[in-house]
Amino acid sequence: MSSITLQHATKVYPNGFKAVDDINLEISDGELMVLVGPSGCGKTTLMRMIAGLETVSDGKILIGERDVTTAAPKERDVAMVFQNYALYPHMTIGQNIGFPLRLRRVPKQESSGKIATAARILGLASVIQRRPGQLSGGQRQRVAMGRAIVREPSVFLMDEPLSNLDAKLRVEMRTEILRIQRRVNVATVYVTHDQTEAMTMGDRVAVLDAGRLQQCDSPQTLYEEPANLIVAAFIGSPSMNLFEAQLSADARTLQVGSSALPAAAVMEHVPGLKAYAGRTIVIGLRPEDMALSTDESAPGITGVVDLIEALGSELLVHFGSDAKRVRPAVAISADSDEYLPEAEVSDRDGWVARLGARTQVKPGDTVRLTPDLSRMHCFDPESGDALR
Amino acid sequence: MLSRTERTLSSIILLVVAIITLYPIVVLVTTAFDRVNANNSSISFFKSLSFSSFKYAWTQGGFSQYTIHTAIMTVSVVVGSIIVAVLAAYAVALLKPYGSRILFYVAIIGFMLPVEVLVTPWFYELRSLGWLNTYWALIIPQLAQSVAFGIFWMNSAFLAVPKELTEAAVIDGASRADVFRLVLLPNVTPAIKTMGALVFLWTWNAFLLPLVLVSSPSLFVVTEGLSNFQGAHFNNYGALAAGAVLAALPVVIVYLASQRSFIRGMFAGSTVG
Repeated sequence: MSSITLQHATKVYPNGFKAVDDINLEISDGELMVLVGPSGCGKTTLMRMIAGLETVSDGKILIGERDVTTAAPKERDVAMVFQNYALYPHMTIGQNIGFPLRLRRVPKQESSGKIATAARILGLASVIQRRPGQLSGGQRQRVAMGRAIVREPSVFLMDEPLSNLDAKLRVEMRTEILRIQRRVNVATVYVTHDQTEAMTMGDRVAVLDAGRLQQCDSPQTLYEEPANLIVAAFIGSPSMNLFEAQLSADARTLQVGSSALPAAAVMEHVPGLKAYAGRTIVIGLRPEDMALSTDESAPGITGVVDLIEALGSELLVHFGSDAKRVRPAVAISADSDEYLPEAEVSDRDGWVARLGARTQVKPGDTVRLTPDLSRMHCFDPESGDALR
Repeated sequence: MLSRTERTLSSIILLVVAIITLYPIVVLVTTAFDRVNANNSSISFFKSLSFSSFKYAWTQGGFSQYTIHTAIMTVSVVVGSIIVAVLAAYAVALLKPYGSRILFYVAIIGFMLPVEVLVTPWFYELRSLGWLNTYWALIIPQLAQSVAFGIFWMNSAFLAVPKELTEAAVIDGASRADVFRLVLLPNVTPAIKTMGALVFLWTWNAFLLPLVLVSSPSLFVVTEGLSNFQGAHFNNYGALAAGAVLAALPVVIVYLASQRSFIRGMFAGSTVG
């Protein structure tokens, strides 16, 4: 039972590439911390530094009160679940789960008991004599979990454990992992590039980009109060509508393309906006914070519908306007085909609105959408920081 | 899908190739089972089923001794090269100490040079050590070439083991020796078996090095013995054929026994995903 403390943790590779840049983070005992970010953001490197598989170039890592910055992996009392499970193909499931106990020379009777318990918890009792090659992806995933929990570590590390599973199994395993994590109740670091996973699993979520910590907070806070453009673009699916807007010199109207919105309603919750009078800012609106309006006089954004995604319970309506869309430069490694935030992959310049399933719209319609100005986000266009 | 004509044609071609390949072997084996006869200078085809030619080759022909010499040489080379090559390849592939890449390239050169190039230097080297006509002369040069090949072969086998396996073991609490013994070795066993089988075949069939380095009949290996036997019994086809069968038999047995891991090892690199 321990917490994890990262103090100015930095990793610089011999070629000078800074993979992890001055990260300060505390993961308390029993907490599930999700590290999320696009490919190449440094999340896996950071986890490997905690595990002891990567050296720390600068800063400190503490597990509990103990400084483990230079300790060997086996001295850290961490257990890790790998992306491809890393099961030993020549051993049976029972031997795989019991491997850490065998290395610790735990008496056979005690270890068999622990293996049996772990197998029962994970629903693997019937396959304990099989080899990993004979198991399905979900079962292998559970064996990897079993191997990690059987030794009762002080820290649990999971590196994209669900990314090799199909969508349905991923949802099932998500709850299973959560259940197990609550049961073993140790500090857990969970790396993923999937923001849905991050939002549904994390007690807190740390968003990383270009090796730097962008924001660390509860999923709800990240969603509602993103600290900057990168977090705003990364968290949420579909992602936040981010567009350029001009605040008039008298700070009364926000000009978004040809649409004028009253600035006063925004300033009520973003007082910092006032200082940007006469300047360009970036506004952000979640798809659900826009409603179809029939009132021509109400402030709104007019556009032409170009695509409708019917999800059954709701419609995602994509529409174009004359406003200029902003795409935050989220760092992405060139060699990866992993998930990219929607802001990066979508070639549409339009808006997305989440509307009721029975809304009567079709492609080609001209629509007017009224934004909920009390939920509008504003960002500095240079630094990308949220205005408060 | 192949058409009917294509299938028939390919079957005919395969049949012709099979006949061409198998005919000499069938003739050799049936001749070997002919009764021993000092003046039998013709091949026989299912004339009789007698072991007398084998008995003659084994006792009078000296094949019992040749087989013992060859077995000592081969077992030493196979065991020695596996031990040295596995450890060296592990170091080159995963520990990567300073200078290991150079060692690796030297090893590659070592097994790429044809034996005809190396035989003269070996002769002078071993003569200066006083090892000509000893087991050292049979074993050391073969061992050197086999180790060179083994390092190359096992290097790729170690590299094919997913890195996560060793990392998982390290996190599970394994020492370096544990990782090697409990995780890496079991995963490269098919490659070791294939290497052992290949080295066995090459060493058992070696001819030029033993011919040059061991001239005394008291230490002849089977290939040398067979060549000598041919000179002395050029008109005794039955005995000659029996000698050839005796010389080839261990190779065939090893091949058949290790066939599965042999083929698997050969294709291991292409299927590890």
